[in-house]
Amino acid sequence: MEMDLTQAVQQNLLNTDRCLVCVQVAELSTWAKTSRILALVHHQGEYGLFIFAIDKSPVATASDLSLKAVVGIDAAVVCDVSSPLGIVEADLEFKIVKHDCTYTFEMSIGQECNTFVAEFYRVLQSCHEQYGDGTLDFSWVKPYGGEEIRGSSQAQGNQPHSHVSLSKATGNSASTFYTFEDNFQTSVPDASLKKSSALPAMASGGNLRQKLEREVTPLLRHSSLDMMGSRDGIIKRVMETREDEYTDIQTFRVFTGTWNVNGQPASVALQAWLAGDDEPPDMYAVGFQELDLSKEAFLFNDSPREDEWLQAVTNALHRGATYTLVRTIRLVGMMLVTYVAEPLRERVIEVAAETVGTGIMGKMGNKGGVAVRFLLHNTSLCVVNAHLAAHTDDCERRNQDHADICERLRFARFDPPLPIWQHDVVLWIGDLNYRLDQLAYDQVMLLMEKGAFAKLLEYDQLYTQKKKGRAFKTYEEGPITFRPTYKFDPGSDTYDTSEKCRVPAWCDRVLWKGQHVKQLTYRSHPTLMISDHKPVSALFDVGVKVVDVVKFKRVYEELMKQLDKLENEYLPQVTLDTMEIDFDRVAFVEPAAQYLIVANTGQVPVEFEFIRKPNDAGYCKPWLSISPYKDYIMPGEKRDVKLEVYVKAAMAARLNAGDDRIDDILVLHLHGGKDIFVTVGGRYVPSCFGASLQALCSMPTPLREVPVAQLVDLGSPETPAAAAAADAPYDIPKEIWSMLNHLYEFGVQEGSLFQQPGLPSEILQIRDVLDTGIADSLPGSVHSVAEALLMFLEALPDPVVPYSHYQQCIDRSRDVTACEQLVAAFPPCHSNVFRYLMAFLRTVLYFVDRNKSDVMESLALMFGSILLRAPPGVEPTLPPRMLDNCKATFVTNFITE
Amino acid sequence: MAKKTYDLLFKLLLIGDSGVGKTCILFRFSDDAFNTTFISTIGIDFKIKTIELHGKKIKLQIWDTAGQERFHTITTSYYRGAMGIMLVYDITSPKTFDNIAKWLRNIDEHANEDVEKMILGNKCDMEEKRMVSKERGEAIAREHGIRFFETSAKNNINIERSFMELAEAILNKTPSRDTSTNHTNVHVSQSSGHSSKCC
Ligand SMILES: Nc1nc2c(ncn2[C@@H]2O[C@H](COP(=O)(O)OP(=O)(O)OP(=O)(O)O)[C@@H](O)[C@H]2O)c(=O)[nH]1
Ligand SMILES: [Mg+2]
Repeated sequence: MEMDLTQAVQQNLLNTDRCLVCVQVAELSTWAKTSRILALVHHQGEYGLFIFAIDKSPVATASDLSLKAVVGIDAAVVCDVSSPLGIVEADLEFKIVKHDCTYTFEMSIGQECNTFVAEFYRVLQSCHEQYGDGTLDFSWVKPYGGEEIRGSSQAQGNQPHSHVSLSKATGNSASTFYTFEDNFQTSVPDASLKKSSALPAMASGGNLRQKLEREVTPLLRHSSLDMMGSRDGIIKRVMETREDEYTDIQTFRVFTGTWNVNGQPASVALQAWLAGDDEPPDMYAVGFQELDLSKEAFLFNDSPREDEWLQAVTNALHRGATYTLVRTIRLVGMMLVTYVAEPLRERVIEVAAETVGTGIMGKMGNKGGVAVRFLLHNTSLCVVNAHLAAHTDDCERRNQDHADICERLRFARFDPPLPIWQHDVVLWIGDLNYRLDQLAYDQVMLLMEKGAFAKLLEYDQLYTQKKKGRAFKTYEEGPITFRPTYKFDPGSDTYDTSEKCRVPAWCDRVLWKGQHVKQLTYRSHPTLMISDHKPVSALFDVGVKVVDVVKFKRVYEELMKQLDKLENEYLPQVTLDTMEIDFDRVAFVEPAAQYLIVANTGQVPVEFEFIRKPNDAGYCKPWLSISPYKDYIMPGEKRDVKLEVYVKAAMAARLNAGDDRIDDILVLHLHGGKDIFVTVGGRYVPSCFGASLQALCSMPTPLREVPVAQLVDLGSPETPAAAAAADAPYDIPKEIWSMLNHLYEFGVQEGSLFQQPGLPSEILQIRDVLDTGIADSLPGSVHSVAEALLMFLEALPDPVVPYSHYQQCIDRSRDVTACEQLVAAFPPCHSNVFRYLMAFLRTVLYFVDRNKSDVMESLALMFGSILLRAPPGVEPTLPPRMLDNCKATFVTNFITE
Repeated sequence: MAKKTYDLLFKLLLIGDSGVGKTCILFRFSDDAFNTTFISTIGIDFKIKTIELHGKKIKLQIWDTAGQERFHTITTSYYRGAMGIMLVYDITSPKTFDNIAKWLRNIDEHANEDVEKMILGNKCDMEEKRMVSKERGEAIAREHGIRFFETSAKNNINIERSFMELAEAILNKTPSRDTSTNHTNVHVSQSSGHSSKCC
């Protein structure tokens, strides 16, 4: 036998919880339609929407259901019901949105569906009324396998969200809904937390931070805007939450009045109703019902009565003050007029008015409500003037009208549209039409005569419905000490004497909601007799939040400071293990590396880059390379940056001469942040590599034994020391001699000389022997010596073919005789070296047995490019290929037999 | 529509010899704190601070430079774009005062022509060690037509005031933009979470 669904659900619940209503639906996701049971569950004043999966259909026992998710119902839940227009018998779409998570269900229209949706709305409404826009923590859901985490205040802390698992059905941010999948392992960090890169920082300590976290973080989540972009928004929100700190409560007198005028023209003076007190009120809210019963008013919402009554009210306002009309609003017969006393005029802003019809088809305005809202100083105030369904038996209908107005009346100029309950103070006036139950005309008259209003009130429908929580649950009403205001024979003070002989009732009421509201009087005004109702008034003292400019400024400035601090903390920050990199000894072609550790010690990801200083060609000197020179580092992470020095032939001369130094300041730039200077230093060890031929010829000792000062002098040809060197002790530098000698002895027969690279380590040893003279013979293979020779020649500050003769040598490279003459004209050491090299190359070629011409060609090209180098800064006159050919031709002249 | 966060952005620069207290001055202004240990700035750093002047919200971006001699060629390249420069010396160190002339030359060479300048004689709390009289400071400032304050980052003397005056001087030069924006409104809308669609 099929089991009652509610029973099956109930058996899945704890004893403390009760299934109010449930319905079978289909959950719609992108891919599928899945059968579900929706159950509205009540737990000690709180509600949850439980979503069950159906494991076995039809549902026969409790175990055929398994709980998939729970949506805690609070103000964050938005519900939308729609049906495809014009299609009868169509399915209803029921959409639940909480934060950024959406569930969509399909329900087939019917009694069950109606009951469920109606009940759901009722619950939602009462949650709004009861808890405002505060959110609940739904800890009672915990025993079902976890906790509703979103929307609760604890979500702002650093609690682990380990119990949350992602819903497959929605694939959305999981934290909104609490869903139970097969297991609970998946930990999903708050999705909105991830959205803002600025946020991770807030996890760490600090008192101020925690405070800000409390204040700012939820707002950031809410607005899901990024930190910097929404600073204004954040300021506004935080200021709102801290309102108490800078506002004082100041009391203002508010007059409210309501009168069902039964379609009568404004033919009487209203002072008795509106201006009966000694003191003038600071604000008026006057509501009318049945202002106009004409067909025109009903169908076209057009009424001459509007102006008439407005005028009547304006004329009757208290003489003790000057009033300004704030706003009037009318829907058919319902009209609401609001005024403030002149000095308050400047303090009324964000005025809005809205109407809701609840008459026939839920639309027509013969019944419903009109409302005006505004900010009075810093307190939001909403006045609702309603005319609810008539007739004694239609109590339920009146409740429904009230619920509809609460739900549907939203001030559309706000985004999102602002509902009634989101106001500090709500004043609800009108012909609410609630009657006296169970009592006959005579009984009422009797009790009334006795003045037993309290007794009478026990039969008042509004009183009883309110008590049951079926309408106006969260509203207050003052004690009624006046006689029922309905129904009178028009023009008299006599209760209905007509055939119908209606039982008198307190149709016309004033209720309120909000803090700091004190009712002073609650009266009816029987002297006004044109209608079958008597006007009612209630006078209030309303405590309004008034900004204290000095306090406001202090709070505001404090907040600015906090935000500045936060912003400063969010600037990229790194820490370096050192600001100075010392390479100590740096030598020719000897690579050396040092590491710089860049640690992201800030709150945000850092993009760093070594940037170029003005006047510099690159971000570092040519002898240095940095890797990576730009990169990203996540907070808490580090990057090792490798700095490598390598002095190549082209840089050696300047370093040798002291024109350049191993010395640089690097600028490490953090994008969107600061720059850090990193000093790089080292001591260059001078070498014969990079020394001039002239200097080397005049040095009898190895280079290392020459004092540095003299070395520098010898480097530049203009100095006296260099001039003295003109008559040098050697024809060619001993270093060249040493290398060539070695090659003559061990290499020329090799045949493959200059065709194979040497070993870097051997080249360094050769360099050291040449610089120090510590050994008589050179170490390493002939190929290393050969490459060292090429490096040596390349490093010469003035090439073997001196810069001064370069152009002529190129120009006349095809003319052998001219070339010989040019060489003869070189400074002696240059021509000596040149001739010596050429003789050597001829010997090398002599031993080449195969492809002699190829080898010659490659030697000529190689030596041509090294021996003939264009002076720095000189634009080449020929294309590179032709230039290379000229150089090779020049060399060829001297190496062909 | 989201309003922008501030009305104006001013870029300020602190320069002067190493150890005169530039970093401390900035730290006092931004964090209202002071540190006696000297950690020489090796680079260029900045902090932001929002102030309100004549109803305008102004975001100050204040750059602190390395004072050490060896960085001078680099730091001068940061002068361009600064709208205000604070030139700081130490009243207990005549050398730092003598260098004012050099710093002023640097400004002339590298900063925007219309940059607003200010001279600060810092550490005025150390009266017993004073080596540069206030009169000398005032004199050199007058000579160059520059505002002058004696300050103490340590005792929080004239720090806020000097920044405000410098900002004010810049503001006075800034052509006032559309006057339609109203800044004096202290009225904070209460209706939480609901921004007005219109306006
Ligand atoms: N007594 C006193 N000491 C100060 C004051 N301001 C700074 N100092 C001290 O002076 C020293 C240097 O201060 P910094 O602010 O780091 O100096 P700086 O000008 O930034 O130096 P660089 O970064 O090297 O250019 C620190 O030891 C501070 O404590 C002050 O107003 N009074
Ligand atoms: Mg510093």
